[in-house]
Amino acid sequence: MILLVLAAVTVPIGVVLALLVAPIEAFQGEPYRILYLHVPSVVAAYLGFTVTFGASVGYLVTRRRDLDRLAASSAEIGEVFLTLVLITGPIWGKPVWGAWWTWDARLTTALILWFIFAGYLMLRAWAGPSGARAAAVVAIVGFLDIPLIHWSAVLLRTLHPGPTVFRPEGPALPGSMLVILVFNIAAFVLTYLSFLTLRLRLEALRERMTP
Amino acid sequence: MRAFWAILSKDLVVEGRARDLLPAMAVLVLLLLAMAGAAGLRAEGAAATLWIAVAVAAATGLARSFHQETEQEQLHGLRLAAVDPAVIYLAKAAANFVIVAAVEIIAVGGLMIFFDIAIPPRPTALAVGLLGAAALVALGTLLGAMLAAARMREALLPVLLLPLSAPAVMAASGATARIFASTGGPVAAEIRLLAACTVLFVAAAMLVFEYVVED
Repeated sequence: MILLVLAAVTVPIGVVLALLVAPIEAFQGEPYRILYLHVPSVVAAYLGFTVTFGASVGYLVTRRRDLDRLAASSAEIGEVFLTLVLITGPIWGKPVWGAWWTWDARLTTALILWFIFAGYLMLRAWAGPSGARAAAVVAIVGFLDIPLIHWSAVLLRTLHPGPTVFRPEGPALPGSMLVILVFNIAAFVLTYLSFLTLRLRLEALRERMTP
Repeated sequence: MRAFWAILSKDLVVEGRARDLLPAMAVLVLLLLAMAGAAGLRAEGAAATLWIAVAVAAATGLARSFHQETEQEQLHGLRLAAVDPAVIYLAKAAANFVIVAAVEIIAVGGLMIFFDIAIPPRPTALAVGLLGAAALVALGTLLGAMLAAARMREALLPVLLLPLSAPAVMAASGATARIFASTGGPVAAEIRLLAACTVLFVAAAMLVFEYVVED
């Protein structure tokens, strides 16, 4: 409950900060503001899939049902955030790059990851509880695939802006933008956590209902 | 080791007698290439189309090949015989590799005819072809076993195999395109990635296979 309140409070604040307070960017102009939605969504999505990966490994080893529920719930929420990423990305890209989509490394990786977890969710829907082990394997292989997909996409081409925040040398954003970005990331992580808690509760109830 | 050869030869003999899986996959792959050409595809897009076609045909074939297993409860029999699950996996993957490699050769032949492409006799071309098939089969065999009893298996296997094998398909496709182009260029990086994918998929499958086949 606290999480939900915190999330409900920080997200609107974050949006306001993004739209009104953040300074204007020299080259891209106003459209860049979608960064404050796009990047936090990426963080939340990858957080969700990492949790799914960990829970899937744990489930295969221990067979604990609560780990399986965690994996499934986190994958669902992660997929929602990834969908946001894939929607906000092109909205950002069209005015700035002139194209809705390009096949550069980051976009390709995100898109294929979306399909991997769409397949995961379809498997869970169609196979039911007996598919839990199969789903865990898909989640594990899919997660380990991410660096490989990125590597192969890099071999093919690159247009996405090079990393400005998550770089080995440290962020290249001016302080004012970085603060707002971090705030929004925190807001989105809170949102992910509150959704996850709700979803887990729902899943536990559902399991108690079916004998 | 004996179990490995026994399972491998059993699978190949069954296919040799039934002769239903390989022709079906070959027809599918040639159909995909033919339709692509009919729909306007030319030599520039041929490499990517080749690999998508092979991946789809492999997925379809692998879904069917494990269906046979459940019909006769063969996996249970193998488990009762106390065969190491990793060995079962390797043997099945090896058998599937033979079939998919054959389909790939047929597909390449189709490509040469439909799109007037000459395959330069480089050893790297062979490496790309074999490693691409290996990566697809390594994953497909694991997924096929996992989904053997699932509903909607035939629809699910391609939906899962294609994105999970994406790094291999992408690397193979990029390398193949460069091999076809008369300007050429080194494909060492792609071969390294294909090898990494194959090793990762096989290792993951061997680790996980026992969890997948036990009840």
